[in-house]
Amino acid sequence: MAAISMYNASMPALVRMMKNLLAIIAKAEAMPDAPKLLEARLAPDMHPLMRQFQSVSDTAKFGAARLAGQTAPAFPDTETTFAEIKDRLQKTIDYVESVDPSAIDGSEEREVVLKFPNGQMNFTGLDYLNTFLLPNFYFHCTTAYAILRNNGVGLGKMDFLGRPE
Amino acid sequence: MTNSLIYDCSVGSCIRALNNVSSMLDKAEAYAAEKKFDIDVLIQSRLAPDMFPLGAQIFIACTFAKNLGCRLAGQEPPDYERGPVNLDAARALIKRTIDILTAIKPEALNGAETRQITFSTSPTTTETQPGAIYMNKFAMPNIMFHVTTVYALLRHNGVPLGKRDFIGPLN
Repeated sequence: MAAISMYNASMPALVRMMKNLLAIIAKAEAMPDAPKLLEARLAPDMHPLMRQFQSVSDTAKFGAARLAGQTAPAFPDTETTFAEIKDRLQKTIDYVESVDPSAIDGSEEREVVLKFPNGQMNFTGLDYLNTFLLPNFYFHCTTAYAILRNNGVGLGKMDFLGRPE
Repeated sequence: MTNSLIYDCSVGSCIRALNNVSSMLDKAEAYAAEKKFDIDVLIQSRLAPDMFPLGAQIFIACTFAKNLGCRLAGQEPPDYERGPVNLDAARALIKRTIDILTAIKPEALNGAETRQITFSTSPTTTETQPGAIYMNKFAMPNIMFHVTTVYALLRHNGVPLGKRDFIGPLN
């Protein structure tokens, strides 16, 4: 039990954190003027809350797909409401949970290629996990939390980490 | 990259994250000098009145990091004395923590994923879990939370940083 593998070093954390975000969103929705929170930013040149949630979803789905050698589902960034972003996060959870652990286990040395308009980045699976996927994923989860705290939503660290099961 | 999954996911990731925080502090210091304000005002800033200030975010990240590395290596982590954290103290803490982590060899973590580790989850509660669970569910989310909050505080206060400063050098 509890043996470490590429799958259990990554996917359970993605799912758990997205579930925590769904509970955090439920608290944010109870705020007066809640829809305006989706446009809130920590700095004028940082992305607003909605984009942070969309980035959480993208980071998770691409993380699962790339490590498993699959194609990620398309989620066009069309959400404008809490209901829509909750639906997107749930669909992302469903996708990550649908990936067979055996498709990800053993991916330490698998080549992961990220293509950008002006070039590409090549990683091994293990480097992709620890230098890109998890830092980016936690970055957007934490920034979403930080935006809500900065705007007075009553949250604590346990909302971020999730309650013990 | 060491071919040790548990080492890369814990000690390796913590060293990288703390080096990135150190570089971000360099840019914060340069920004303070350019704008002619006391850097320690920034180190005391908060995102909300009931959140910890930047210096404490660094203290907590360092504490979780040395606890994680030492416990996975089967060592007793040293105590870090709580106190006000200014820029110099923050830098000293980061250096001390990176030194502790760098001294831990990947082989020291062999078998750590299944070893039972007891850790405090609040001032009054402890939990005992296998190393992999302690790392994945508790220590790493906490560390990433606090280092991201450092970035968020610096950005919120105008320090010119980008995501690349947070992610750090790749490959």
